[in-house]
Amino acid sequence: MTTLRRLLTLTCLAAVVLVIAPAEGMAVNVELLKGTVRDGDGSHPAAGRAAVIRTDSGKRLLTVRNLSIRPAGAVRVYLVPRKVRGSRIGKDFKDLGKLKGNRGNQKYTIPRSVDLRRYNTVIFWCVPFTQTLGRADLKRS
Amino acid sequence: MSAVPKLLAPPLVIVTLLAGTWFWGAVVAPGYFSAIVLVVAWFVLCSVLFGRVAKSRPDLRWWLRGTFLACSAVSLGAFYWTSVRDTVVDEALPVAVPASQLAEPASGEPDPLAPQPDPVAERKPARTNVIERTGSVKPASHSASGTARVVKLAAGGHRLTLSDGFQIDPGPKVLVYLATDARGGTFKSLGELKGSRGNQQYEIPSGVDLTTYDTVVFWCVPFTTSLATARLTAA
Repeated sequence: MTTLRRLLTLTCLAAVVLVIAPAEGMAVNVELLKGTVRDGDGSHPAAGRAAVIRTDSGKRLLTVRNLSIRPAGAVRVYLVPRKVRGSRIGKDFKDLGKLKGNRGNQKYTIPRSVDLRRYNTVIFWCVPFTQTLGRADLKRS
Repeated sequence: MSAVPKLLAPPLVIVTLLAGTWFWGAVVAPGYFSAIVLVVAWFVLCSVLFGRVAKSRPDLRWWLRGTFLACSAVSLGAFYWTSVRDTVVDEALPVAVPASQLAEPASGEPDPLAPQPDPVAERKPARTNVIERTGSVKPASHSASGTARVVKLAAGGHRLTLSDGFQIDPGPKVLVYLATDARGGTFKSLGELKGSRGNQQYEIPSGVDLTTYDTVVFWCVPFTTSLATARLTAA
C-alpha cells in the first residue's frame, strides 16, 4: 500500500515538473523595441513597422514589416542616436547593411557591439543624395 | 581643325553633365523633387549650350549631339532602374512576444539593449605562443652567452629557443640536454646543437616534466663535459 502511494506521488510530481519546466525555461523570441516608419525629412513618404527582436538563440535582429519607401539607388540601413535629424548624420551611426528592397518584409542582423540604448533610431539613408528616405524612432515594447 | 578637339569633345560633355548632376542634385537640391527638377534643368541648359558650340563649330556637331543623347539615355535608364522601379522582398520574419508582456528579468541578467558579450571570444583562450620558462646561458667550462626559453606554441607542443645573441665555444659533437641538474646526470636529449652561434629552436618531446628537467646543458660528448648551462625558471 505504501509503495503504491509513493509511486503515485512520484508520478504526480514528475507530471508537474514536465508541464512546468518547459514553460519556465522556454526560450522565445522577444520584441525589445518597436516603432513606426515615417517620413524622415518632410519630402519622402514612408510607411512600415520596425522592431528589434532578440531571438531564442540570443541574436538581435531589426525586422521591418510592410515597408514602403521611395525607390532609390544605394540606400543603407543605419541605426543612429535619436537626436539625428534630416541630412545631418555625421559619422555617428551603425551600418546594418544595404537596404534589401524598398517594399516588403525584411530583417537585418544587429552586431553584438551596438548599444541600442543609444542607437535607438532607424534611418534609411540614400548615400549618393545624402538624404533620409524614412525613419523609425524605436521605443521599448 | 585637328582631330584632338574632336576626341576631347565627348569626355568634356560627359564631365560637364556628370559634374552638374552631382552639384545640382546632391549639393544644392534640398529635397527629392527639387533634385530632379534641377538636374533636368541642367540637361536642358547643357543642350542649349552645346547647340551654341555646335553652331560655331559644325565639325563638332555630331560629336556633341551624339554624346549628349547617349548621356541622356544612360541617365534616364539609371534613374528608372534605381529610383522608379520597386524592389519587393518578403523575408520570413520571426514572431516575437513584446518584452513588457514577459516576467521581469532577474536583476543579474544583462540588458539586452546593451552591447552583448561575444560568447565565442570568451570561450576561446588566446591563440598565441606563450613563453613559459626562461633562463640565461651561463658558461660552464668555456665562454657562453644568450637566453634559453621554453615556448608553448598556440598550436600545441613546446619548443626550446636559444636567442638574444646566443653563442658558445664551438666543440666537436655537442648535444642539447634538458637535465635535472647542471652536471647532466639525468637528462633528455633534444638532439645535436645546430650551431655555436645564432638563434635556434629545438622540439621538446611531449611528456618531459619541465619542473624536474629544468636545466639546459650543452654537453660535449667526446670530452664528456658541459660547455654551458641555462637554469630555466618560470617566466
